[in-house]
Amino acid sequence: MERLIQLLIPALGETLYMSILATLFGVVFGTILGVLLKVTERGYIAPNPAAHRVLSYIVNIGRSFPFVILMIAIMPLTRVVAGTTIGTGAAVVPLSLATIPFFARVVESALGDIEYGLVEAAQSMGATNGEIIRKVLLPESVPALVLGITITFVNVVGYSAMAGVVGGGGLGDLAIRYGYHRFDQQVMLSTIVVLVVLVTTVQWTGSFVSNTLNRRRS
Amino acid sequence: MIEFQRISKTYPSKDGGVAALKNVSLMVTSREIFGVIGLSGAGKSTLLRLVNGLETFDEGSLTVDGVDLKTSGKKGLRDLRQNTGMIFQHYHLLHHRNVAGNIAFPLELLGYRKPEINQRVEELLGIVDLKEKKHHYPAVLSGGQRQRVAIARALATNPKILLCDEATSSLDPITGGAILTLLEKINRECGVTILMISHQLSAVSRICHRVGVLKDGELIEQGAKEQVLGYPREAYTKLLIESSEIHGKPLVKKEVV
Repeated sequence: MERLIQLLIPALGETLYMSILATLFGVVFGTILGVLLKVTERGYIAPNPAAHRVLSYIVNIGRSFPFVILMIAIMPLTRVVAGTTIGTGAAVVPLSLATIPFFARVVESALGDIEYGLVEAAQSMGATNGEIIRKVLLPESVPALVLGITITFVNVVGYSAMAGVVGGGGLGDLAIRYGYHRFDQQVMLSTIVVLVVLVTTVQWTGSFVSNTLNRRRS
Repeated sequence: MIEFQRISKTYPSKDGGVAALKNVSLMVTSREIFGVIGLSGAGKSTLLRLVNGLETFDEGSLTVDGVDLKTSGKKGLRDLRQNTGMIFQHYHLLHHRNVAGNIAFPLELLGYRKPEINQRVEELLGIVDLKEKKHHYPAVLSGGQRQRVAIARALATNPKILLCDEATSSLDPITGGAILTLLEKINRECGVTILMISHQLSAVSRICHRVGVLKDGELIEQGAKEQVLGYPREAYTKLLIESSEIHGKPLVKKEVV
């Protein structure tokens, strides 16, 4: 038991470290990218078909990489950003990069669910595009974004299982090294249990927060 | 106050475009309630949305409160919008803000300070008779209450002009009637010029001083309400009036003229 805990605790720490940081970067830059994607759409507040197409291509390309390949393919970039290509910190770079386009689509779709009439009402009051984004689009989509962040985080936890490839550690890596390579079923099973508990807790919290916000609004 | 001169607008389409407005000339004078009636697709919405620049036009000129919309520029348009309130058929309130927050929104855009905002919100809640709903969210309000919030929000910046886009069309007759009474009160007591569009002849005939009839993008008839609805010149206007009459009773008494 003690051996298990000694293995699991640091691995869980690494998983959380990678996932939380990557989700954070993904949400910040993904929101910017997602907002740009939406507002440049034809007929929206800052229509710009050329920019929209370019952004959309970038997002699609970013999302088509299988994560394992992305991790290896962007190593030169990882070296520039993190100073190294191996370790938990280095794994955060490809994880964030995979998360940004995903979250951008989440944001784009959340904004798309907002009635355009609300935007026009704000325009009729003289709101600028910046004010519409800050005071209408983003706050109106908070419940949807909270759910989106939850989905994204769970996704990132999944991706982070592959971080072992670049020495990132984490629960997935532990499961592969002990559970798979050493046939240690105890480690394998306990890793799965920890992951299930982690994902369930995060999902439950996200749904709870989103529902609470929605209930107040409806 | 609002002057449309030979305004035309065509929406682009594959086969050359759809004319939304054809050579429309119309003058709304200060402090009056002007109603434009017409069926869906007649161009009413386009006409109304030109006034605060939510739509643009191709030909003609449009002056609103002394501002020429073709040459106003971004800043001029923003100022104009802050001087022009607008309400909608579906209210368009912000779900993430309560009643007070919604009414405060245009004031925040203008950079008012908190105490000023609070004071103005209280005043407006009094005008639209919603003081006890101050902290409620739009989702728990009835349609009539939501439209009252929207009216308070539109009036927050003390606009000279209020644009009403089918403001009573999704409300039941009694609630809609109360909203019309409120609009009339605002016009009378605050001196706000109102331009409203509706497909409901009853709404227009109830509070408007003058009316215009829009058919397929053309303003076929306009004048004092009693004249247009009492002695319509155009067959189309007659048809509109006849379809709104209940048991042969005209909406406007002819003796009024």
